[in-house]
Amino acid sequence: MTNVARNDPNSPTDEELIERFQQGDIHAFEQIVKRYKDPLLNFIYRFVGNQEQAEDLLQETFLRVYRNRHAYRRVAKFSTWIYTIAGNLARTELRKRKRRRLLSISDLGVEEDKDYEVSDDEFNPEQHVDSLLHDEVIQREINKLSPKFREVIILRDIQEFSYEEISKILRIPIGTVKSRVNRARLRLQSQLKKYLDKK
Amino acid sequence: MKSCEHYEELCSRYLELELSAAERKDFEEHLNSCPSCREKLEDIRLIRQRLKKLKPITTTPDFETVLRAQIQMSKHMGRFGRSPYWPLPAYLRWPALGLAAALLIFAVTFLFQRGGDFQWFRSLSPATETFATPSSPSISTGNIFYSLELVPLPQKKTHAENQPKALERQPVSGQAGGEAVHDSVQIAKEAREKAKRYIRTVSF
Repeated sequence: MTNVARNDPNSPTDEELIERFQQGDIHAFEQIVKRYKDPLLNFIYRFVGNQEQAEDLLQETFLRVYRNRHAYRRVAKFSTWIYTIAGNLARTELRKRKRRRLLSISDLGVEEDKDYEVSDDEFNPEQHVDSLLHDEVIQREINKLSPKFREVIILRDIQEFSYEEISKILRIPIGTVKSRVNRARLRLQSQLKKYLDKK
Repeated sequence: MKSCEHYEELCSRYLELELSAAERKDFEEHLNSCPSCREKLEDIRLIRQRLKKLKPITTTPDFETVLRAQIQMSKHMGRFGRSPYWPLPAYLRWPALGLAAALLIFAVTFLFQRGGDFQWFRSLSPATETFATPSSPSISTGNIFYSLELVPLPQKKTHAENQPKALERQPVSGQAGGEAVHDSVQIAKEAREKAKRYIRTVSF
């Protein structure tokens, strides 16, 4: 899945929409919601690992965009701005959970040692990995990463943002993003290795 | 010879074609001689491919309806999402509470200081008054002696008006009696004037 892209090149840009919304056009806000709700939901869901909470945080994200629309300045890309809001909310949620000691892998309802069937098709490493690594397993292992690794791997490898955009969203230097992405990938590889070794 | 950790740091740059030709050659030479790094790199490549294929989730059908309702609610609550019962934005909450606490401490300190002042406190309680008279029993406070007597007031009157009466109740005897009465009237008059001046200074 990719980050937000306009389907129709003639449709207004995000920046044009937020500008119209700043001038009082509520229809422009509705278009922003339609454009961003699913990519943002996936970003938040991969971050917090719970769809219901992700949707609540997404509601809060749009509420903040609505209330703070005049805080947006055209110097930044709209996507950077909205992803920063959503990322901050998701991070705060994780901190709250940590404090309450509610974080549990059992929330996902995935059994630790569940065996998955391997197809007998002609061997193709990528298809083979697809059958070994179910979405739930990947999500569970993403949840085990620390938030700083989790957010970069979601933004880079799932949402496919550029390093430059990630650097702006997270407000950290581009070099830090690159080294953090590399370390996150190595960490995820060491966690998923046991599933990949079954081949 | 460089360690595996050194090449691990280059994994992403290798996969994203960011290494220079020399770095790339060096990296590949290491891969040829190190099955562990080769396997790790291959795993990362496959995991990245797999992450791109994660099934996306979608919002529930009533998402936009709920959002509209929340926006309407937030409009009712105010621009900063504040309660109608809390008239200040959230960022002023703690400064306002601090200021209120400081004012309260100041007010309590002020009242205690003035409450300790016997004359002022008495002017607030008209039901009974305490007067110093020669006939009342003496009590000692340190080196200072006071004579106290409780005198119920028939009407709401200030201490200044009552004090002379108490003083006039002094026993009068002998020929010097008339002079004594004259003296006590004089004393009472002076006391009244003094008390009036004092009350003026403490009134708000």
